[in-house]
Formats: sequence, structure tokens, C-alpha cells
Amino acid sequence: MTDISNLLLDAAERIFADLASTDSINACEQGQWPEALWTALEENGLTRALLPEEQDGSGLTLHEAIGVLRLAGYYAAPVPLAETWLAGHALATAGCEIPRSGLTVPSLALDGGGLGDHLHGVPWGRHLPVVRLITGPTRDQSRLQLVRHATVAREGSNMAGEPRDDIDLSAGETVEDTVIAWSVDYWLALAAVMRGAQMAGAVRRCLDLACSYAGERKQFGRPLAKFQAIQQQLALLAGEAAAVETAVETAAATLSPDAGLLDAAVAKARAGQAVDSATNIAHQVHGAMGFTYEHRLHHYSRRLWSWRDDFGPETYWNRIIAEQALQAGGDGLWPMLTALGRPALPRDRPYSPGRRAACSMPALSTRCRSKQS
Amino acid sequence: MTQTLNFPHQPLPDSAENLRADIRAFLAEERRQGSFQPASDSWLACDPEFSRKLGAAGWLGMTWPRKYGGAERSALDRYVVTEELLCAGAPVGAHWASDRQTGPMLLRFGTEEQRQTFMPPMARGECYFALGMSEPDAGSDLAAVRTRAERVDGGWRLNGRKIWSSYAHRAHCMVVLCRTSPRDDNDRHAGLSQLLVEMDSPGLQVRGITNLAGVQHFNEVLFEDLFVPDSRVVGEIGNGWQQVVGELAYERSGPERFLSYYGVLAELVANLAAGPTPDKATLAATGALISQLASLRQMSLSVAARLEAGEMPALEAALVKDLGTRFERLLPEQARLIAGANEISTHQGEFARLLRGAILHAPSATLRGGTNEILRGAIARGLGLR
Ligand SMILES: Cc1cc2nc3c(=O)[nH]c(=O)nc-3n(C[C@H](O)[C@H](O)[C@H](O)COP(=O)(O)OP(=O)(O)OC[C@H]3O[C@@H](n4cnc5c(N)ncnc54)[C@H](O)[C@@H]3O)c2cc1C
Repeated sequence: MTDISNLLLDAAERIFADLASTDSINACEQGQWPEALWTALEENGLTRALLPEEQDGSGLTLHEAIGVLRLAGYYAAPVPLAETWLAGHALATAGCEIPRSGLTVPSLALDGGGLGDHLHGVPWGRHLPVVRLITGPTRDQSRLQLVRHATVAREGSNMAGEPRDDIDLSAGETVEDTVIAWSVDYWLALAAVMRGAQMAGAVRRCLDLACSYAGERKQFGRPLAKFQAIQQQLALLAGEAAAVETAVETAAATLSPDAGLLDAAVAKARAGQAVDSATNIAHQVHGAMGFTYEHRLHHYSRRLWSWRDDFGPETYWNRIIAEQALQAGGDGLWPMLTALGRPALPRDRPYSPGRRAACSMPALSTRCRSKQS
Repeated sequence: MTQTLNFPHQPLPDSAENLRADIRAFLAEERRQGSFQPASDSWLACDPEFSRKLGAAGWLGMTWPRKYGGAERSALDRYVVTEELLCAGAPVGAHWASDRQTGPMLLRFGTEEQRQTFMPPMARGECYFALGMSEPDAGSDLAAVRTRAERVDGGWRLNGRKIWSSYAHRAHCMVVLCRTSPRDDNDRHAGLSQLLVEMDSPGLQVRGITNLAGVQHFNEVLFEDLFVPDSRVVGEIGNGWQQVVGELAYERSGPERFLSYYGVLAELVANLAAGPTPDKATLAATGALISQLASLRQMSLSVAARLEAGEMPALEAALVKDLGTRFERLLPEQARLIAGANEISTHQGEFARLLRGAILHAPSATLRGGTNEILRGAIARGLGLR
């Protein structure tokens, strides 16, 4: 890790610990924009971590910066940080000016993010300009659009009370409409890894909350943590936390426009697979207390139940992995697996991602495209 | 966020990756010659001739010093060779214990004479070891071993019995964990020692035990007034427990903890690829197995790299073994369901053969080398719960 990424991590931890309090999370779930938290993130450069220094960013790679998103998940920070990173990263890559505000992106794994100009479930859509990608003119290129003042067709929220709005772009102001040398698959993979990082943080928080609760709560004259049945469950939860963290870490280190897409698929798939078991165990260990609104466990469990469906649920990514495997065939599966996790970004080129030496992965499935046509 | 779990991204270095083509070519040639048939749980499949070929090719004792027959390569090089062998379903059971466990143990605790005597033939794939730890009344509670050695002139007199000793009937030697001083209830781990016993010693008897798959894999081994010279004490008298548990991270996180039934997955994919385009549910279920395997491998590689760097990530290693072996239990069951939904035969053909082998062996995956319940107890300790 570079010094600058450590600085950002420290700043992020401090800000989240101070400003992503239970009260402020609850207030946001009632529809408030997290003004204080977002401003603090902006002032500390945390909303521009991936942007190049010329654009007032920190110029970090995804791998260097990913810990910030993990922390955002660990604190259930009610902010569109991943969305802003992704949108800004795309705009910067296409050479566009990046708005100072937060930005959002469609959350569905569809080409263009929805049907035509109608996008469903856009995170914080009522508050933010929307950036999206549509495949073309070639397979490895996309149209990049930045639209503001779009019509909010319906205000909604996910299970965690985060805004998820239906947006009609057609009457909005199209600020940018340009070509980017990214495939929609890469864009989705980036989104999946970023959300996966938040999930890794939330699963880890479930583990930490459950461990400390088990240490404090006494029954039959001793802390729950002393009961073997509880220990066994917490060990299983630790396994899930470790698996998600590793998968996300690997993907963040390898993903680039022409490589690492399968690592990203593994990351989001593995994160999604962990949710049921992780939330199940965390809730079981917390007993009725964890089922109350007052206890903060639900800030994490409800986010995990929601986030697993963003940017493609685990079934989506697993299907893509399987399609690649079937293409590789029985004998090709192992070489496909051993090509995973190979390094992508050369250290000397922090911003524009380099080519992976070991093997270049073909584009992902075309499924996300077919819905559009 | 607490930093108790630490799995940094550690891709294999190019030097290790570069070995892959060599071992793949070696295995392809062996397959072409029909020298082995891929098996489920091939690290329990014993074929001395194959082990000797591996030794001759330099794939055994790879990390050991040259003067003991090794190649002074890194543990990550060995990782590549091991995972390629396991995925190919190659019979590596004969030398498994000596290559993974006994060799490194002798390097750490053995005398110069012991290393000179045993390690070069181990590296040639000619000398195999059995592990004598479990006893009828000492399974998970290994410190309860009763096999005892009494001091006699020039050595020790061994009495007792071991059980579940894999391939003791094919091995040349066994490392026996025994009591060298009476049990102390205040310190149950004290007074244990490790003795190196040659299997043709007078007073040693091996009785085969057939496993549920109908194979004689493990054994009961009886010692009756067996003389063990002082020169065959491994490490220090009384230090046996520390010697046994000190290196658990090495044996917990290797690829054998999640690749034992890999062939089932490969054959499933081959069958699906050969048939009509599978439905979405089939693809999602198949992909779920692959993504779990892929993430396990990254975890295991991360631990391997940390071990190679001289760290001792015991908690992380235990997590890999628990997750990995539970994946091994899951894989055959899921593969069977996917096969059933896609009319892939579980009666004939390569998939069926490997699936049956996997189903029959899977119960052992979460037992051998310490059960998952015990492992999770260790994880809980690592989490500060006990
Ligand atoms: C294929 C195979 C090969 C083997 N090869 C060898 C070998 O080469 N050398 C060797 O020495 N041993 C070998 N073993 C033995 C292996 O190490 C033991 O099986 C293992 O340590 C468990 O001991 P046990 O079978 O006596 O089970 P037990 O200890 O009797 O356990 C039975 C069940 O009770 C559970 N249990 C026990 N204690 C607790 C506790 N405190 N809390 C919660 N649950 C508990 C266990 O998890 C398990 O589910 C082999 C085993 C197998 C299956």
C-alpha cells in the first residue's frame, strides 16, 4: 500500500466512525441526504480517490483505494461513494470534465442500465446526475452518457432504506455523450467489485458485532462466547468474511479493461453467496436483540440483503463464469482457474490500467446486452 | 476494522508459474502412456512407481537443500506442482506424507544423520513414511495417546498401538508420537516425544483396515517391546507435542484441502459443454462451484505466500481448511444434482466413476488431519472467543 492510500484509509475510518453514526444512518433511511458525511468525504479527497491528479484526484488504483469502500461497508455509510467513484473514473477515462457533486450509476446489470431511457432502482437517483454506458460502436467501446436533471419517475428504496429511484433520462440534460474505450462488461465488473468491497466490509462487521456481543451477553452464568455451539457458528462466519475479502482483494488487484473480468465475477458471486450464511449466523447469535430496530446489526444485514442484488446478483456472475468454463471445456477449466488472480496493473502506471501479461480474458457473456435490443 | 483476518493478494511469482508448463507436459505424457487413471482423492492413491518417476523428474522434496536430495526451490514452486498433480488426479499417496510432512520435520528437528539417511531416498520417491499419531482412545484428543516408550540401554522400548495410519502397510518408516514420561494432568502436552520407527523392526505388526470404499488405505499398527535406538529419536524427548502442532499451518492450507474431487467438476463441465446449451439455473449452479473454488485457491495462495515469507498465519490456514474441506463435501453433492437435471449419467462414464469415488471418500475430507469441529475451535480461539 502506498502512503497516500494509507492516509486516505485513516481519514476514511475517522470520518465514518464520526459521521456514519446510528442516528445519521437512520436519518438517511428516512430520506435525508447525508450532508455532513458527504461533505467530509469530499473535503478529504475521498470522493475522488481514483481520479488522476490533474482532475484533483488522488490517482490511486482500484487496488490501492478499495479499502476505503470496504470501510464504507464496515460502517454502513449511507453514501453513494462506489457510484461516484465508478462514474468519475469513467468520465476521467473518456477525458471529460468531472462534476464536483456526487454521481450515480444504474444498479442493474443491463446494457445502458435499463430499458431505453428508463432506469429502475438508481441509487440516490433523486439527488444525483446519472452516468451510464451503452455498448457500441464496437464490442470494446461504449457510449458514455452523463445526464443531469432527469425526471424522477418514482422514488423508492432498497431493503436498507437507501434511495433506489426510477429515473427517466429522456427529459434530462445530457451533459456528456461520448465514446469510452471500455466494454459495458468492464464497467459492470468494476461496479461489482466496488459493491463487493462494501459487502466484504459489512460481512466483516457482522462478524465483529457477533463476536463482541457473544463476549458480553451472558446466559447460564457465562458469556455466549464460551458455548461451543456459538464458537462453531462464529468460526463459520469468519470463514465467509475471509472468503469475501480475499475474492474482492484479488479482483481489485487484477481488474483492467482487458483482463481480470472473471476475477470480478468471482468476487461478486462469492460475496453474494456469503450473505445468507453470514446474516443468518450474526442474527442467530444476537438473539431477539438483533431483531430490534434499536440494535445496529440490521444496518449491515439489510444492506447485505440489498447489495447482493446490485450490479448483478451472484446467479448472474456465476452464469458468466460457467459460460466461460463451458467454452473452455473440461480440459480448459483448470488453465482458466490458474489464470485467475494474476497481476494486472503495472506499478508505474497508476491510472491508466495496463495489460495483463499472463493471459488476456475474452469479453464476458453478451447476456446483459440482449435485454436492450 | 480489526485486522485479525489477513489474506493479502499474493499472485504466484513468475518463477513458480514457469514450472506449470513443465509439470503439465510431464503429466500429459504420463497420461498418454497410460501410467495412471485419474482418481478422486488421488493424494490417498498409492503408486510407488509413479512416485519414483516424480522423484526422478525432481518433483519431490523440491524445497529441501540439495545435500539432502532437494532442489532448493521455493514452497510456491512446490505449490504449483502439487496443485497440478492433484487436479490431474495423479496417484501421489505413496510419498505424500514424507514429502509434505516428514521431510520438513526432519529438516527442522532431525539429526544430521537422520537427514542424510532418510531425505535423499524420500526425494527420489523411494522411501515412504506413515504418520503414527491417532490411537483408539486418542483421536481429536491427541494428547491422550497411551503408546509409551521406556528408557532402556541405548534407546527406548516402545509398547502400544496406533490406528488409522495411512499406508502403514506400504511405508518404510513411521513417526510415532508416544509418551516418554507419565501423564501429568496439569500439563497434558508434556512428556510426549516422537520416535522414528522402521516398519521391519522386530515387535511391529501392521493390521490392515478396509475403508468403506473397500480399499485398505489405513491400518492399525502394534508395537510390542520394540527397540528404538537413541539415534531414532526425532527432536527432543518431551518436546513431541510442540513438534507436532508447530507446523500445522503448512498442512492445513494446501491445495489438497479443496482439490481432492476436482476431477468431478472438470468432468461435469466437459459433459455440460458437450450437450445442449444448459439452462440458466444449471449455469448458475455450476458457476457457484467454480467461484467458490476460485476464491479458496486465492486464500490458499495467500497463506502459502505468507508462510514462504516466514510468517505463521495459523488462523488463516485453519479457515482455509475448514472452508476448503466443506467445499469438498459440497462439490460431489452439487455436481450430482446438476448432472441429474441435465441427464448426465451417474452410472457410466468418467464423470460417474469420479463422482462415485468422491461420494465414497467425501466423509473423510472433514475428518483427516483433525476434524472441522476441532478446527473451528481453533478458529474461535484465534478470534479471541476462548
Ligand atoms: C482417511 C483418513 C486418514 C487418516 N490418516 C491418519 C494417519 O495417517 N495417521 C494418523 O495418526 N491419523 C490418521 N487419521 C485419523 C484422524 O486424524 C482422526 O480421524 C481425527 O483426528 C479424528 O479422530 P477420531 O476419528 O477418533 O474422531 P473423534 O475424535 O472420536 O471425533 C468424532 C466426532 O466428534 C467430534 N468431536 C470430538 N471432540 C470434540 C470436541 N471437543 N468438541 C466438538 N466435537 C468434538 C469430532 O469433530 C467428530 O465429529 C486418518 C483419518 C482418516 C479419515
